[in-house]
Amino acid sequence: MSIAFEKVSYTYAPKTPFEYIALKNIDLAIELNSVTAIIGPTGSGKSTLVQHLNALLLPSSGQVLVLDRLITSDQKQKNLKALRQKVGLVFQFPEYQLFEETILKDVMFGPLNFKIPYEEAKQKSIQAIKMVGLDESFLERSPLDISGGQKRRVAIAGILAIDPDVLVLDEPTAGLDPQGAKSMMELFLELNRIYHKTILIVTHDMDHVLNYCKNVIVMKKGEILTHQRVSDFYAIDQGVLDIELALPQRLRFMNALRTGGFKLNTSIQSIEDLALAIAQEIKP
Amino acid sequence: MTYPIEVSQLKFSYDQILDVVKDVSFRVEAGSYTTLIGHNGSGKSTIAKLLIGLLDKNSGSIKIEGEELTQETVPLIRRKIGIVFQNPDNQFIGATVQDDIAFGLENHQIESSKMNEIINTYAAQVGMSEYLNHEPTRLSGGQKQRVAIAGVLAMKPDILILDEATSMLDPEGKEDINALVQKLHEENNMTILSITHDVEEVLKSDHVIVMYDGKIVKDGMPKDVMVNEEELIQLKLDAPYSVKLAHALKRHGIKITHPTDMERMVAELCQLRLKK
Amino acid sequence: MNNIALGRYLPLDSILHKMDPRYKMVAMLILMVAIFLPSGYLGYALLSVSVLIILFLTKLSLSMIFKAMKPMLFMLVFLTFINALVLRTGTVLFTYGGFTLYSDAIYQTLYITVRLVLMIMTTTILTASTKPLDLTLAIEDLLSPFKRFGFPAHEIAMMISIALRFIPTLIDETNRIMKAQASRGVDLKEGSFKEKLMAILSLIVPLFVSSFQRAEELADAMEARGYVPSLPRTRYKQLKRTFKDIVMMVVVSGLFGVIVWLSL
Repeated sequence: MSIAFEKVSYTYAPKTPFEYIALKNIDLAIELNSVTAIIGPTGSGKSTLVQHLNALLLPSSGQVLVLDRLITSDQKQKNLKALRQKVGLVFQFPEYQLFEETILKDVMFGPLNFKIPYEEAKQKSIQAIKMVGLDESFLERSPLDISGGQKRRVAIAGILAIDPDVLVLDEPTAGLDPQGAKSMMELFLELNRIYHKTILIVTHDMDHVLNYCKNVIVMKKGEILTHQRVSDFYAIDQGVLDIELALPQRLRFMNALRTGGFKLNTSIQSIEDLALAIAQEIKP
Repeated sequence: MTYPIEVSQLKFSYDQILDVVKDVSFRVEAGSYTTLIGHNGSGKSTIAKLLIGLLDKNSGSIKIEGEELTQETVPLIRRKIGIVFQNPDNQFIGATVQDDIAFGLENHQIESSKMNEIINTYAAQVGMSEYLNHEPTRLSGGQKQRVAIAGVLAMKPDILILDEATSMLDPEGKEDINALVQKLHEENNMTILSITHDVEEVLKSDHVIVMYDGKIVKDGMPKDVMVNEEELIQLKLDAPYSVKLAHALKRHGIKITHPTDMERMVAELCQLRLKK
Repeated sequence: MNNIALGRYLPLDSILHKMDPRYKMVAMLILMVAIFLPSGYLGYALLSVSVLIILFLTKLSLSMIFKAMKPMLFMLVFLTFINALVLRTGTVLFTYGGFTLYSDAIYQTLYITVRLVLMIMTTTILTASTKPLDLTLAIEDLLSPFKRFGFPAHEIAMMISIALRFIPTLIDETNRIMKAQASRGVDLKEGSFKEKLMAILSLIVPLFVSSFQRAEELADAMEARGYVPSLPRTRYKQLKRTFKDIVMMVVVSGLFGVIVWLSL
């Protein structure tokens, strides 16, 4: 079982004046049961890439291996639904997809579409709603009547209730306030650690990449620039990559301190580690 | 003394049951860059709409450049304030960039022969001169927000209100707009009120007002207001990174004098290391 | 992209493209009336030649028109059939079995066909040579004399131009919602009637909700920028007539006069 792209290319609107090659010969293997970040400038192909994972898009050439399914351009994709139950995809600003009368019904929509029996769907939905941090009082409320951040969480619960093995999220924290963003990222971490889900997050937030992700894939203009462990990634000089990426806060501080004479050679994973390392060099 | 914005005992509620804005009073100084920060639902966006009369206050007073906001004075007040909203698409009215900038001019009955010059001037000021004929679907979020800013600047307001204007943009767009706003503040000496939940942006402002649950709980300079990590977390906000680090360092007996200023903090730490 | 859908603007570089949309619109209306007057063979020959000349001036080709007519083909064949059965006047053309075909049936069908083709040509000339927004400006200008009777010419033009501005945005949004719901297992091809209904609702409701929210935010932004529909406003885009427009109006009016005379 694996998730892999083999020589995958994708062209939008082929043979028209609007033809645009979004993915160019992508080779990529994504580690199961880990949290992987996908980063890159707008227009680098991140959204196009992830839409191949649940066959919303079929590759123009090449093949995509998702768990036990092989996806190519020419196959008549029967039973794509089964794949979409295994790979849950949450788009940017998913609060716009809510539509049912009550939050519980909306979250149940997904599981019911996948023919999960009613009672089981209900239980999974209630559990999903709790997982995203909303209590029972929300079950019977209208999904259109709550705040934006809460809507976001309901939308994510809607995918969690399907219980996919792989969860792909496109900028899940965009527009959320800092605390909302933090609890969202911690949820994903929990889903990976406790429920062993493979998590893929398209993000622009470098602090999130550093603090929550194990692997990082960097894209530019339809190609993969690099795919490594986050710890290794931040050890290299990013100038090498030929794209401008913001540095996570921690690294900005560390770079500035190192320029001023600090060594900071120990493994630094958090603010606490950094404070300790600084303290040790000031009063050894 | 007249302030660009002076709010006194403002109260507002959508449904007459729950007050969204509860007895809020604050002042914004001329030429300052003020940030208004608060958790989602704290009432901060509502304040923006109240200031330009898109919502009617229940009680209290709003004075813009000394002029009291009433039903009669709303058109006058709206000329003094330019406001940029959060969603780049939902405030882009014209079919192209130049049409959109022209929209405000049309409303204020500027002669059509004079419009081209004004449009060119303000498009240049926001860096969109090459895009005058572009439709919004061909523009990025950051570019659309730049056009929005040009559109409001063309009315020559003294006050610019940004209502979470960068929260839907990617980092490049955010940086774009922040730099532009900084430039407008410095070069044009505009009074800027930025409603945001970006704590790092707050550190760049002159004055910060913190809201919690409809009330103002802190009002002062960022270096004084943003230093207490526990307090900020209780207010459902985040502390700036440097403050969090300073806090952690305190636990190791290292005291930082300027925890809200990264450069000074680094300098201080380097000094301390050399002193040992 | 090779198909010309009825009504689509084509960015070509022709004389017609550069003309004042108000004059084009009025000219088209006059021609439409002329097409429906019973001006006989001469009249229709005259009209056809005139329209063909204008078509040529617009740099449109006949093949484009024929492609646009394709949807009509079925209807025309059907019409011929009906006419052949129903109309029994004129000279007998041929008989086969129990069925007799009369000349009037053919004439009537031809008559209708010619009118239809001319109509389609005329409207296509207008829409292909005029940007939708210029059409809106023209509508606003042409209807504004009625403002004094309370007719909301400006408001209607504003609504049309905002709708035009948002069509691409709405199309994008629909695609997004479709993909999001597909990820939740929505499949419009399979399923019971109830499931299909839910699937459609899952697309329509979010679209409506976001459209309402969009409308509200847009209204706020418009108000904040000083928009009051009932108050006078100036307009950035001004339409300018040129000598060519006047010449065209004279020619079209002349043609109309001749057609009227031929119809009497």
